[in-house]
Amino acid sequence: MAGIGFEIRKILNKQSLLSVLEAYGYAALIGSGPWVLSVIGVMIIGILSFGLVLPQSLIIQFLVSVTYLMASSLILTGVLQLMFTRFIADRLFENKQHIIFSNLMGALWLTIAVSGIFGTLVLWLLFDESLIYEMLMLANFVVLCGLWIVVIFLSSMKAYRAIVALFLIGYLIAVVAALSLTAFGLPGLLAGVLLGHGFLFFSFLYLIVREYPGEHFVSFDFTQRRQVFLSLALTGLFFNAAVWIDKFIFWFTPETSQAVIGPLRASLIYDLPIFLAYLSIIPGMAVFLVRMEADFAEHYDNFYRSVREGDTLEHIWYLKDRMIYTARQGIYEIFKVQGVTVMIVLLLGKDILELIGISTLYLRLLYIDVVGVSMQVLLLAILNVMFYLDYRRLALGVCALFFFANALLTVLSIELGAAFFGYGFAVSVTLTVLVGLYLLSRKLDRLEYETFMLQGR
Amino acid sequence: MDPLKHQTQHNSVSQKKHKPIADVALLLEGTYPYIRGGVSSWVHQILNGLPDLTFALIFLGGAREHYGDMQYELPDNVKHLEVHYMMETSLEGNPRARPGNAEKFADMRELHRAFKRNDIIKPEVMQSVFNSLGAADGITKEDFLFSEQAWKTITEDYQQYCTEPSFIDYFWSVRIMHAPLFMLSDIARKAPPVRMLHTISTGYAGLLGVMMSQQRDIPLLISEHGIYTKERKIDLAQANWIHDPVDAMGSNLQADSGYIRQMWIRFFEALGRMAYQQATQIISLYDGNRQRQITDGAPEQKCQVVPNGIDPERFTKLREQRPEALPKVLGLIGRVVPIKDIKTFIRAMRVVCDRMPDAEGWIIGPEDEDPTYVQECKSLVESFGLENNVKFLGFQNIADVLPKLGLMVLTSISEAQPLVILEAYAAGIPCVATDVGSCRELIEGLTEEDKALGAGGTVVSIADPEATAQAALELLGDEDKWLAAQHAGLKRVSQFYTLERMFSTYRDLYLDSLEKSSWPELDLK
Amino acid sequence: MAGKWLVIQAIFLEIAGLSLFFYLDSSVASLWSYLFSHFCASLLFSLFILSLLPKHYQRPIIPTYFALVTIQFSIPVLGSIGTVLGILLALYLPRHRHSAPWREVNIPDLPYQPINISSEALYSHGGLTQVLREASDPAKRLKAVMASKHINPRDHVRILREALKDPVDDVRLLAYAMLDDKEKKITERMNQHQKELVKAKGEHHARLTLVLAQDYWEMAYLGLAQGGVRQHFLNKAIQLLQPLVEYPADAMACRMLGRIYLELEQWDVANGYFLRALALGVEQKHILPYLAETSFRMRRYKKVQEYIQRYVDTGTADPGFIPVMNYWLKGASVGSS
Repeated sequence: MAGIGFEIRKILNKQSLLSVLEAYGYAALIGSGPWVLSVIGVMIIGILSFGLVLPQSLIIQFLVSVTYLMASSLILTGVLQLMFTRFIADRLFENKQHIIFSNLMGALWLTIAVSGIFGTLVLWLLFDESLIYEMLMLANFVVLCGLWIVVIFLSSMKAYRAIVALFLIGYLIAVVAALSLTAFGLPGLLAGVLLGHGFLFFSFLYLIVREYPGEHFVSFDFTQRRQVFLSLALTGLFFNAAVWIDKFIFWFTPETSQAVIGPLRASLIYDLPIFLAYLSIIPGMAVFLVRMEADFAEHYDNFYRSVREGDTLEHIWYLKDRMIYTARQGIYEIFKVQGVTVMIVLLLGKDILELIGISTLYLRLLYIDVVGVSMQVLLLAILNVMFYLDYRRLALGVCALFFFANALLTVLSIELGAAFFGYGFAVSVTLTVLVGLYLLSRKLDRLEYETFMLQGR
Repeated sequence: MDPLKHQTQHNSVSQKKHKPIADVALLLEGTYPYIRGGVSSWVHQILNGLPDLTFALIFLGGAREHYGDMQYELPDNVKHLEVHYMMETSLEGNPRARPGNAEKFADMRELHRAFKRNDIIKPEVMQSVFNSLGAADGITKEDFLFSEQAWKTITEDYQQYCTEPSFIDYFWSVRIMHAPLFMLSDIARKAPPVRMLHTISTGYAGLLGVMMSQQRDIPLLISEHGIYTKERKIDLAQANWIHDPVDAMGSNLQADSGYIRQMWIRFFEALGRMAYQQATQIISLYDGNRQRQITDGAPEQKCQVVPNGIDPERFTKLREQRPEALPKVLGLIGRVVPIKDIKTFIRAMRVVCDRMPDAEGWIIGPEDEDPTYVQECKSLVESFGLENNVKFLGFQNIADVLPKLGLMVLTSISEAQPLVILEAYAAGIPCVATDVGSCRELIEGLTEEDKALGAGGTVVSIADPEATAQAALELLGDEDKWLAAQHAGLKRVSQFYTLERMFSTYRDLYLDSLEKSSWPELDLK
Repeated sequence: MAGKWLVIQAIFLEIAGLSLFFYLDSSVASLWSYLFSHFCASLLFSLFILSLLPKHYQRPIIPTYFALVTIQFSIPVLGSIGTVLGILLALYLPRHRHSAPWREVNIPDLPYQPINISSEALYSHGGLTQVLREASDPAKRLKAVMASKHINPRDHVRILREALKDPVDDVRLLAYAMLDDKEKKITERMNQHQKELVKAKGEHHARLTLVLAQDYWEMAYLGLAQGGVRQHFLNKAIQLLQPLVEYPADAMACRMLGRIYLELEQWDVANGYFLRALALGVEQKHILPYLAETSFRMRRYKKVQEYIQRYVDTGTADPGFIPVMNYWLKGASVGSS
């Protein structure tokens, strides 16, 4: 949604170094999304409470619980994320702001009901922990699912200072509450996170509801277009599942994992490097947001406007070239920024690990994961272009490829032994990026032919 | 006639072992047998006048809802009738990427280049294009709509020729313009076997003639009453659905209409030129039109004038039925459509009634072709307060009406050779007619010998109610003048415009073509 | 108030459930008892929130209620607080979307829209008639007819009428079609106004009458109607306008009547209406030139000079009027303009 592009452009137009930092900082915050922030927040809670009274095993139980909450809520809402984003973007384009609120409530109701039932079933069938732990897990799960839906709107909002402030307050609440509730052990920490995320969920909701007042309370227009619904739902599901499948495989392969709490297992050897690596995508995501949501969106708009509003063919071609050039430039810049990040990690990785007191045995895995997650940013950029151009089938294919390649290669990497850990993810995402780029550039060559000649496909 | 209706036969065209079902296929665009009018009556006459020949009728209409029931009883020598509606062409299909036949597209572009150069089209190009149009191994409608070759053609032509900025307008105009051709090629393929073709206009019917003639190698005859291309040009010059680009900066008066408008005009010009080129004989009703056809690309040696005729004997009785006193009734016989300019007649009636309050104006003709225009005319009558003087009689048997008229009025802004004038003459009625088509010839005479007969009425300029009313008042108000005109008209029609003359000419033309036809003679048991 | 009781009961139920839950030390029995009391509390509290929703959000009532219950039941305590603060409050405080009076846009690209400026002859207004009369090439005359589209309607009609007498069919047909189109548009408008007029009342009726009279007037003024028909249209317009100039008189109707009588060459009547229009407050610059004309026709030359002087004094005189001013005000002081 281009709202954010407009805001970022406005900040950048001030043309000072500070404004560049401001713009990219904000883009980093929105772009990398709350889940990267959550990783940081949860880690802070973990590290801080480690120094307090709690035993290490409890903290690991906490970290693993939250990781599972993140993974499962992202995969579950992945079904809804893309199609709902698309629905909102289309309505905003049509200037039908008034039906956004009721559909948001509809989507939230659906999400909360499904996540509530799904969470209850899973906890009921698989867990045998204290009831208070299970209930907090359930509440956390429901709130996170809701939060992922609400977060969709952030990039369309103009109140970016409020958003930044809310993020800070939310995680402050989480950390403070968790730390002051350490007396209650694991449930205390979970309650802290719940409070933080609950605050974020409802305060973002507050911003959105104020921005888009509606006519009714609940409606389900977003489920109307079956076909779009299905392909985008599948794409979202595949993408989120693909991102997590290698972790799940490591968690549930006995040789690489250990039980932590209830049925939840973790792979200490695999998890820590990859979560550290995810922190390295923040600069890439910032560039992604600025380049894709601001620059590409603008040129995309120009191109289609020139088609619709009767421009000359030469100008249509020119604008198409400009659009492709921005896409290419965006991908190239993400490549550059992530390249630098990778270089830094390669150079300083050892020091970083030593600094935060993690064994340097993880170093090699960290290197390969940093490359992998950087590729994932590129993949996001490519998918974003596909969504803009409405290449739904292509996006679905790419995400499915990512999912299956990641699953297959991860299993293979485990078979091949510890030296190959991490390669499954890195190779699969690189492969997906290459295939995606190839398919996309082939599609773009025929863009105007398909735009004009194959309308109404 | 019902068993004949919508009968389509899926004969393989190339197999000549199929017996032709008729001698002549008449290709009719928006006329006989669904619309009444001059052309339709003429077709009906030909069908009835040449009973020894057999006919198949292929009717091309615009939108289905514009046509009601059949307006004529088809004579027995009509062996086949099929009906198609051009507006039912769809631009839909299965939008799948496809390459398209590069070779056939190249031929098609060669054809377009010839149009642009105003060149004679090479016969082999024309043959290739019309045999591949709609054929699975040529250019199908899907190829035209979705193929890469089509895209290449459209974009290259746009760059090379189009002077209008909006590509999307150009793009859709090309699509909308050409889509009906695939329907025509389909009709051409599926039409029953016949020995020769006769199209009563150029345009789509003419193109259908070209396609069938190319595909089957049979002679094509063209008879034009009006000039199709010219009529289309006027429509297109006015059409609101084409938007011209506006030069927002300049206050200059630009004569040039937009490229897309020009493109549409050239499209119909090209249809005309192809028909003229393919035809074996091109017939017009009067010399003015023959000249016009030649300017539009018809080879002079193929052109010939065959005027319409009537049977004066049929009208003898009507003359006897005429009342003693001259009826103060002005009659306008014709379809109630804008080209007949009924409004000018109504306006003239306003003036006539000011001076001759008991005068009446009768509008005699079918009102189903353009209901909004009919409504406009009727409200015009109301707004003039002429409800008691001007009457809309609908379609009538002219034999019932003619004796009651005192004067025939023709306000058309365009005519070819109006039969109503001849009929009025034969029924002993002078005419006031606008200076269009062959009206001046009919009223004042063409040759010296003809002119010597005197005027059968008055010629007035078009859309001039004052002059029309003036002329009518002079004739109706001056008995001597009226009688002189009646006499001159009667003489003229029986001397120069008889049906017998027309039939014999057409019989010769048909037999001549049939002789050349590559198809075997019809086995008439 | 029922609302207060709902809240108190809901809070009580929630607290009772929670304390029971912790008191019974999180056993299965405590879970069920908590779920039951939490469910009841959610039902009650949702009822409370539902009653507080802005009216149009309350319908359809059943899905709305269900949605509220679902949110609160799935997220205990936090859900209720969040719903009140995050949704209910926000619904009462919608951000006012002011349409910004201006918006920042980037400098657009140069337009790639080369309108093909024809190198062929462009005509001047006067030249069109000339071309139409003199040009021997019918194509040239045809183009002149096309180009006449861009000049003022009255002259356009005049040129089209000229073109109707063209010896070549094509030119005539085009001119005819253009005239027909013009007339059709006015007739359509007329019919529309006539239909509306039947239904209209009071002030609206008067305004529509004026509009309809204007249609008739236009038909005559543009020259679309001639002779008897023109007379008829003008009479029709007079008929319509007459009631409007009875007391209280309509200034615009007076002005239009003046113009109609001017057209009908009834100078003194026209003069009277123009004077009335002026008295009724129609701007001077719209009336004085006509008054000068009627006075001239009636050979009251002193008056002509006076009106022209007054017209010049308004300072709004049309530049095209300068020769007239110069002639009539020779010697007299020409105004500041």
